[in-house]
Parts: sequence; structure tokens; C-alpha cells
Amino acid sequence: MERKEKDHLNLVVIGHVDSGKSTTTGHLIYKLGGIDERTLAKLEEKALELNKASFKYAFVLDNLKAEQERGITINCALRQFDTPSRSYTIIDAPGHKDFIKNMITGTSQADAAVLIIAAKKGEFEDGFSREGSTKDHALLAYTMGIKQAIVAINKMDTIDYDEERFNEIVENVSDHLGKIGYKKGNVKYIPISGFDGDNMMEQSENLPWFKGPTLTEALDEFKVPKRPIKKPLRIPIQDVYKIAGIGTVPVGRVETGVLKRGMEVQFTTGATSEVKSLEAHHNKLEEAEPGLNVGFNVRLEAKEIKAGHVCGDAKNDPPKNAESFIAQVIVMNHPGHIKAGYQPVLDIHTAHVATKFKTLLSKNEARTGKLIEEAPKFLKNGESGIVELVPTKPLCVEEFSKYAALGRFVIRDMKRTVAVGVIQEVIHKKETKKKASKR
Amino acid sequence: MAVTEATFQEWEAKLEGSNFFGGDDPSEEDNNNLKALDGSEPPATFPNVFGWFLVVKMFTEEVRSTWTAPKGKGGKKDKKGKKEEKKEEVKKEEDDDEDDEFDDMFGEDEDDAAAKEEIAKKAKEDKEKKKKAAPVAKSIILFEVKPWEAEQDLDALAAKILGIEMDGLLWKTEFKKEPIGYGIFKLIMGCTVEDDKVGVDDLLEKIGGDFEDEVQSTDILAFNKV
Repeated sequence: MERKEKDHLNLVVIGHVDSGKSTTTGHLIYKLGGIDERTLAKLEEKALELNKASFKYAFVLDNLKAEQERGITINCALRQFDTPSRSYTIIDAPGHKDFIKNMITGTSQADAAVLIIAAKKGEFEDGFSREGSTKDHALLAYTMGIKQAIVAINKMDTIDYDEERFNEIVENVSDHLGKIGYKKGNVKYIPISGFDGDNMMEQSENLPWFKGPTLTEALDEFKVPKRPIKKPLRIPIQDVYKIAGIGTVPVGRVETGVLKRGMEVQFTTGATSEVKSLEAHHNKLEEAEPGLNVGFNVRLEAKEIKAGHVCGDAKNDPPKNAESFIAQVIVMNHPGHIKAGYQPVLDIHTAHVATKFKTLLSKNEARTGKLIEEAPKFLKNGESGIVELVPTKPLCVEEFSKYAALGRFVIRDMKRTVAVGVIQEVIHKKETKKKASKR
Repeated sequence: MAVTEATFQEWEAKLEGSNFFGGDDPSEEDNNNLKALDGSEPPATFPNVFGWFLVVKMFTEEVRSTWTAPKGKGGKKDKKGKKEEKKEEVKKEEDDDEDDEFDDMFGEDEDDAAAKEEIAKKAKEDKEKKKKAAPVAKSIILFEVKPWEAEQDLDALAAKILGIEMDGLLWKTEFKKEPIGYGIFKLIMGCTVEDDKVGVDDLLEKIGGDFEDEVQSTDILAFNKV
């Protein structure tokens, strides 16, 4: 049966504090129906009452911000809006130190990035050229597989919609993004004013020289990532329940492949079972596709399955624990030097396992991958390298190119995200099916 | 917010023989002057200022903001009549690029009443400015909490979680229960946090740790800038 559902995309919005990204995202959410109607009606009424109808938009945004900040309801935590053809969820990247970990191991992975950059003289230079976090986020987004982006050159109203200035900024930014790896054809540059609404949803009379799409048109041109239904099944287990009268129910998100009723599944411990039934949101299902959080009933003891284990199809490339793996890491926030022997905690899918840096194979340029040094003595902040890692406990990881969600990780130490990485190659144990499960 | 050579000289004289601008105890003036420096180290050619800087910057912003206005004790070297001028200086210091005016003011003999009015006005302006200049970075988080069993009382668990208090943490008191399947429900909860004060991982670890018997796992659903 044809699905009537709209395509859905997660957008990560990156920008300096002064780039106007909150105003811009707020504008989209406000104009495209991301605010629930009751809240909106209430605010618009209030704006009228206070005779603020003329700047209703700014008023509503301010109040929404206050609501997010201090209100008691949780519905404003999700930022969503719809165009006629798509629905979008916005991830408005905060500066919080724990955000990067969430961006990499969290459940809501971004499909595309929107960079907001202030056109205003000085603000662009401070916000993008000098200050690093926008570029860091862009690099991270690229490393983690977000290959398509829009660069919105914002605050065009403050520079009199100057085409030359726009071109100057585009040249500068595309130079940087090119170095990171973004291909020219995958990045669109769009002049906007998030505050006044120029070129957000409609062509602006103020920008007659600009022949490209509006921001929302450009969003709708993003490719919808194909859901990896053809790949072998991978479900990292998040929770395990013992249900009276039913038995053991592991729960996790289907990352690749399709889980079907009656299928013989295999866990990384080697244990196998038939899937007796599956449910999501209390509905009985025949099958579950990527993106769905699903619970499924198996004929195994609850004790045999733990969070961090991975479930797959016993007959199609079942998941195995890794002996070791080769990964590209980028050191972001380590107080000293990372050397061979360093053993921090690795967070990957639903697992958290102490993992040892066995060998530093090379030091490479983070942006281009260009070799800087073979077998370096150490890696420090801002540096990138290829390393061999050995988990201290049974752990299933995969190559990023095959199973993205099981191939990206963060390294944490001293309550900080000290590095991030993507896995290039996995070395499996020689002897198969040896029971690796711990007591 | 550049601090001029002249201002440093002024400060150097004021700090001669006292630990802080207001005398022996730290005051609002110290905090304001430190902010005026905006993190840059004063030149070592002003030893009093330099020493003062090293001491004052050891306090966190939070502690410094609790320092009140000088109690009128003044530095030992100050004459009583100079009190008002001193306060004025505090306020002045915060304004950008007004060093010239500040120097003028200091040289003039001002009518007390007018000065007071000016101070009040400045104080108000500064307060507004501060509000605007340094917005506290916050994030809004939506997360889920999953229990061990289908029969658990999630309302009671939510109440306990909402009881967690941390500086910079503000709970959304509303929460939802969403079905997972097989009769199991999970909690959906939200909060805002000040980025510099609350570690989101710390908070979730605390929920998982403090209520270990009731919480199987936690997971972030949305993490956004406020």
C-alpha cells in the first residue's frame, strides 16, 4: 500500500549566537505551523490586547522563548514545521558541552545541516571566520555523514541587501566548507532575513538580483535519505523487559533492515530465537522498519540479553563482537595528549564500554584526511588521526559506511566528550560463536 | 570595553593600601571593574591592580554578583566627601567608550543631588545593559525514562524525578506517559538547563543512579537551544 505520510527530515541548525538562528528557526516554526494552535491563538490574542498586532511576530517569538524557558509544558521542546511536501524537525544546536555527544549517539540523527551566518559587517568575521564553533559543528556534521547543507546568509536587511557583500561571504564560506569536504553541488547559498522574512518562504522584492530558491524551497530540495531497509538487520538493544504471561521482550530502535515476525534473530552473545511477536506504541506489528522503536518477544531468558547488545538476522550477516577496530578520531576537548594505552569510555549506539587506544597509526588533517605523520607519539586537541581501538568488554561495532549508527562514537573522560570518531574497519574474533556473554 | 591607562592609574591609587576598591571587603565595584577588564590581564606595571585582579578573578561570577555596593566605608585614603564620586565611577566604568566622560566627571565638582540622580539612572541602564549583553545560554531538553517493569507506578517515579534540584535546572512539571508495547509505558519529561551549570549527562546519570531500582534507561529525545 502506498504511504500517505509526508517525507520527514531532521535538520541541524548551526550558527554563532549572534547569527540570528533562533529568530530564523522561530520564523519557520511560527509561519509553518509548528506551534500548537492553542498556544498560538492565546499569544495572538494577547498581542492584540496589548496593541502589539503590528509586531505580532516578534511578540509571539519572544513569548514562545519565555514559554520554552519557564513554561511547564513539554510540547515546545520539539521544534517542527511543515511545508506542503515535507515535515521537518529542527535541531537548534545549543552551545552546551553535552550536545555533541547527543548529536552523535542520540536518537534523532540529522539528515541535513543549515548554517546560519550573519551578513552584517563584523558579525560575519567574528561569528564565522574567527570563532571556531560554527566551523567545528560543520566539520562534525560532515564527519558524521551529513553531506548536504544550506548556508543561509542572514540579516540581509542590515546590509541593504547588498549583492557584493553576499558574494564575498559566499566565497569565504564555500572555501571553508570545501576544505571540510562539502561538495559544491551539495551546498546552497541563500540570502535571507529571518527577522523581516525576506526570501524565507517567498521571493523578496528586496533581493531582485537573487535568482535562487527561497529557504523553504531549498529545504524541500534536500534529498530524503533512503531508509536502509535492504541492509541486514541491526537493532542495538536499549532495554529488556520480562512480561508476565509473555516472556522476554527486548526493546530497541531498528537502525537497518526489517524485523519480521517469525524471523530467527541472533544477538551478539550468539544466542538465537524466533521472534514470536513485535509491538510498538502498543500496536501489534508484522514487521518493523528503520527508525522505529520496537519491542519484540523472544524465547530467551531476560538475563541473557543486556542493553548494548545488538540484535540481527541469524541468516543474514548476524552482528558479532569486535576484537578491535580501526577508526578516524578527532580530538576535541582533551586536557593533555592521547597516547597509546589511553583507556577512556566509548559511547556507541546503546553501549558504553571502556576501550583502549592500542596503536596510533597516523595523524591526518581532520578536514582533508591528508597524512601528516605516520605512527605519531600522541594526538592533541584539534588533531585527527587513525587509531586502533580495543574494547575491554564484548562490544559490537560496525563500519560507518555499512551501518552508520553502529559506526560512530564519542569518547568520554572526566565527564567530557574528549573525542569523536567513525569506524573504518572492524576486526572480528577468529573463532566464531564462542559465547562472549558475561555473567 | 577597553580600560585606559588613565583608569589604571586611578585604580592603582585607589588600591594603594586596601585590598579592594571598597576597602577590606569585596564590593560591587570590584565586580564591575573586573568586568570592565573583560578578562584581559592588567599591565604588571600597576602592581596593586595586578594583585587585585589575581585575587578577584578567583571568584566565580555567581559569587561576585552577590557582592553589594560599598558600605560607605571607603578606602582608608578616601575622604568622606568622595563617596558619591566613587559610586559614580563604578557605574561609569561599565559603559563602553566613555572613558573621556568619566575622566571629566571625576574632575568636576558635582552637585550631590544631581549626582545621585545620575547614579540611579546609570544603575538602571547598566542593569538593562547587563541583561542584554550577557544572556545566559540555556538548552531545552526532552527525554524519556524507561522503567524495569510494566507494573511500576510512573507517576510516583516522575514525582521523584521532579524532586531533583540543581542550580540552573528548571523542570517542566508536565510529563507524559507513552506506550512502548506489551503494556509497558515510558515517561517523557522535559527541563531547561543553564548550559554552564547543568551537565545533561550528569542529570540523566543522576536519574539513572538515584532511582536505579525504578529506572532501566534514559534517552534524550530533543536537545535544543532556548
